[in-house]
This record gives sequence, structure tokens and C-alpha cells, in this order.
Amino acid sequence: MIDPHMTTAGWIFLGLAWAAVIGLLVWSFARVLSPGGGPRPGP
Amino acid sequence: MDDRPDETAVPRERWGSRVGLILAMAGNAVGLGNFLRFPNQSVQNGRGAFMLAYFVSLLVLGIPLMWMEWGIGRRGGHFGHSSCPGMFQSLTRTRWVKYLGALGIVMPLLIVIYYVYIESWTLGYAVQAASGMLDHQDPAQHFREYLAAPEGLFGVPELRGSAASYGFFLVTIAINLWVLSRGLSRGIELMAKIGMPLLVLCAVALVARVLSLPPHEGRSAIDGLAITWDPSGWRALFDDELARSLFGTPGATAIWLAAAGQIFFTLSVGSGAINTYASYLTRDDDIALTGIATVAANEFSEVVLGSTLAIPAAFVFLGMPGVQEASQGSMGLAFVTMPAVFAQTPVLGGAPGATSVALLGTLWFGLLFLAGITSSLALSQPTMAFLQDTLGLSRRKAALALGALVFLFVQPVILVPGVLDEIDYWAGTFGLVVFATIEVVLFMWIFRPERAWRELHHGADVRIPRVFRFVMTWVTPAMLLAMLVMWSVDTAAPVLTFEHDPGGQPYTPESRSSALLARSLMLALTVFFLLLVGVAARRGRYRDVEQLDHGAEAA
Repeated sequence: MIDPHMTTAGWIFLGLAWAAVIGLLVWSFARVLSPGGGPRPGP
Repeated sequence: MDDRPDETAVPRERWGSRVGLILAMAGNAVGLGNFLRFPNQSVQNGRGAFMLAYFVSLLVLGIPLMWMEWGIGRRGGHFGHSSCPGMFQSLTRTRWVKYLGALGIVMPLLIVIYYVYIESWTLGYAVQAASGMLDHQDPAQHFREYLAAPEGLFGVPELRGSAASYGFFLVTIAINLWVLSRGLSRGIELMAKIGMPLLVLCAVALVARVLSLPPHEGRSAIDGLAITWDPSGWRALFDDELARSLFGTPGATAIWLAAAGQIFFTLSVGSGAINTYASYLTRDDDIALTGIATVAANEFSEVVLGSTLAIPAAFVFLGMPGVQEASQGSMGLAFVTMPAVFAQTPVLGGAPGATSVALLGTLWFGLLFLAGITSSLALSQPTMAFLQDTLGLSRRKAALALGALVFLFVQPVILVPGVLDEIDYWAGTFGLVVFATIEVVLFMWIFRPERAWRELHHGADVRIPRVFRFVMTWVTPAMLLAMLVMWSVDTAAPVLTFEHDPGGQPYTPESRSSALLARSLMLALTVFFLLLVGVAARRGRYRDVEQLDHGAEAA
């Protein structure tokens, strides 16, 4: 069984996925914690 | 939107703060699945290809279902219903639909019965690690004896178990019931506010140690990340032959089904637990932003923290064959592989051994216990809510009734091998998809997409991208129906007819008896709650939602 090695494609995939998840986390918690929670649009 | 008053006759429990609500919801979602099931599933089902299917499933199944369950729950809570029978009845005038909602009580209760038992192992191991009693020389033997002592439970060889596992189970169930009996804000929310930051601290400390491990026999933790994140095998998602040759899966479909199944498990959608938590919101509380914040918190703990712990650590010391072997079962990875890995991990400048096992083991099993308890509390709350709101029991009596049910039904789980796996398959895997399908059909098709969309945006702090309306109406139901058909043909039908067990192994006479026992218990509990829903209906408990004017509401 061949041991895996991190490739450029792997770094790009990991980077994109982590950036998306962390970005969503920071954005959503920043909105939640902001006073008033931001504007309340209609449907 | 209807104009009914928000207040109901009985004062309802409410969340104390929005952050507390999100932490409780995240605690519900972040569980043993994030740190154990997720790495196992990714290693066994296509690694990088699995991750691609995972993110697609998150977008078309996980996030839409999360919003829908928040929507159904908040609407039910508006009419004074915190369990699914009343919530479902608030979506349509069809009277029998409330009986489908009984599944939203039975399934989380079935899950909690075995989940609390597994959670108690993590508490037992955390205490043993901290006190230096965890045998790291032969962790496999230690684990076997923890679950089933050679002399039997309490010295009775016929009873499978050990005094330690039984004792820690009793302590765990007592902690759960104590927190539940303190109520929503002073119990569950407080637990989440303490437990979730602690959980993240434990996880970050372990991640830092794993990523800073020096290479061992040429293997580094960074290369261990490639097991999960190398996407080069993506073609296996569309090529059965490639899926078999590259990853050893039965075919491409198996990768998609495994990824979708993990999304269900990790986000806790399809069990009814999210609906119940959301029912304690007020009518004008936002659900769009808080729903997506919950998803983000869960995905951070799974995709970022969960993928960086067990597999890379096991890879450094055991290599790829060791990782493959460890990922055969979630429990082996947690309770056998990780102690062995900790025994080889230098920590705080000292030599690896008993100290590193004590320190890292306490962090690891403490992390798992916190992840477990915040989830088991959420899974217990639908039963608590039903007993309180619908049958009128006090919080204390409801907690005692729940404790009695769990204690009674967990006995076969502890004493009879195979019962846990059978219940896990029907309630914790297949049942989630069945229940989610019912929810989507009710909310998007029967309640209608335009009303559902209005419901989700009432009081919303953010606008949900319009594309999700199409996804929720058509893509999510289509995916769920496809999953149901494929799972029914591939596994549910053969398991039901005893062709093979959920793990694909042929049933032996013993495992067949265990399966029959498990199915009898599940059936008995389902019938019991159907009868209780019937009793509540005869008492007029659902009259308000049965008589809603849906035509006027839609106008």
C-alpha cells in the first residue's frame, strides 16, 4: 500500500474547503453578534 | 403569514440568548460523528472523491434540510407544539399526519438509547486516562474488557458487560437527566455555553499537537491530510470500475450514498431534534442566519478539526495499512487506535508513554464526551417536550419518565451483542432519510413552496439565495427519494429479510435473534408513542392546529 503525499491539488482543495467553512463561520457569527443582528429583509 | 397571537395558554420555555441557541444547536450537530464517523467514512469511501460528494450533499441536502427543520420547528412552537406530531399537523389539515410526526419522537429516543451508552464509554475512558488507569500497552484488550469483563457483569458470566462500563453508563444518564430537568435555558443552554468552548479548546490543543508531530519513519501529519484531501480520484464519482479499483467501494453510487449519509448524521437533520430546539424561538426570531451559523459551526468542527485529528495522527505512527485497519470501525479508532497513538506521541518535551496517554487521552476522550453529551441532550429533548407539552408532565417527571425508558431499553443494548448495530441502522441511518423525506414533502409540496419560503424569511436577518427555493422544492426531494430507493434495494430490503446484516455480513443464528429482539423493541416503542399521540389527539391537544385555516393563511 503506497503512502499518500500532499500534492498541489490537495493543498488547493483543502485551502478552498477550509476557507469556505471558516469564512462562513466568521461571517455568520459576526452577523449574529452584531447589534440588532442586521437588517431584516422581507421575502 | 397567519395572524394568530404568539402567546399560548401555557407559558413556554425560551432560549436565553441567541448565542446560547446557536451553541446549543451546534452542540446538537457536533457529536461523535464529527470526530469518529467522518474520518472513517472518508477513508473507506473514496477519500478526496468522498469529500467532493460530501460538499455537494451539504449544499443540496444538508443546508436546505437544516433551514426546513428550523422553519417547521419555529412554526410548531408558534402554536405551542415542541414535538413533531403537532408541528406536522400545523402544516396541513390532513388529520393522520400527526401520527407520522411520532417518528420525530421515537427515532431520536432510539438513537439516544444507544448513543448515551457509547457516550458513557468516552466518560469512562476520560476518567481512566486522567487517573492513569488506561492500559496503553494493549488497548484492544483493555477495550474488550471494558465492554465485557471475562467474569461477566457483576461476576455473572452469563451477563455481558463490566462494572466499569455499567457504572459509567449510570453516571452519564444521571448527568443527562440532571441537565434536562434544569430546563432549556438553565440546563441545555448553559451546558452548551460551557461545553462547546471547552470542546473547541480540547480539539485545537490536539490539532496543534498532531500537526507539530515530527515525521515518523518518513511519514508526516501533513501527508496524513492527503488521505482526506487529495482530490485526484474524483473520476471515481462517475466510474464504477475506478471506484472499485481505487477505493475498494462497491461502485460510484456507494461514494455518493456514504457522503449523503454522513451529512445527515453530522448535521443531525432527519431526527426531529432540530425541530424541537427551533420550536423554542419566538415568532419573529431569525432562522435564516442562525440556521446557516449552525451549519458553519458544525462544518468547522468536522471539516477543519475532525479531518486533522485521528487519521493524520494514526498515519504518522501506523502508516496507511494501520489507517485502513483502524477505519474499519469508529469505535476501534477512538478507543484502540488513538490510545496506541498517544502512547507513541511525545508531549511537553517528555518521553512518550504513560504521561502522554494521560494528557492526550484526557483531552481526546473529554472532547468526545462533550461532543456526545451536547448531542444526547438534543436527542432527548423531543421526548421531554412531548411529555411536557402534550401530556402535561412536569419537567422533573418528564426527565424521570425519559430516564426510565432509556434505562429499560438500554439493557438489551448492553447485554446482547448486535442489538446496538441493528437499532443504529434503522433509527440512526435509514430512518433519518425516511423522516427527512416526509418533512420535505410536507413542508415544500403540501405546505407549498411559496408559504415555506415566506415562513423561512419571516424575521430573517439575511436573505436566503433564491436558488435554494428551487433546490428545496425539487433537488432535495429528488435526492432523498433516489437515496431511499437505492438504500432500500441495496441494504434495507436484504437486512429486513435477513439476507445480510447492515455491515454486509451474513446473519448467524445469534445475530438473527439479536436483530429480531432489536426490531421488536423498536416496534414496541413506536406503537407506544403512536398510542400516546392518539391519546393526546382525543384530549383535543391538536385541535388548534387541526383547525387552522390554511386557505386564508396562504392568501
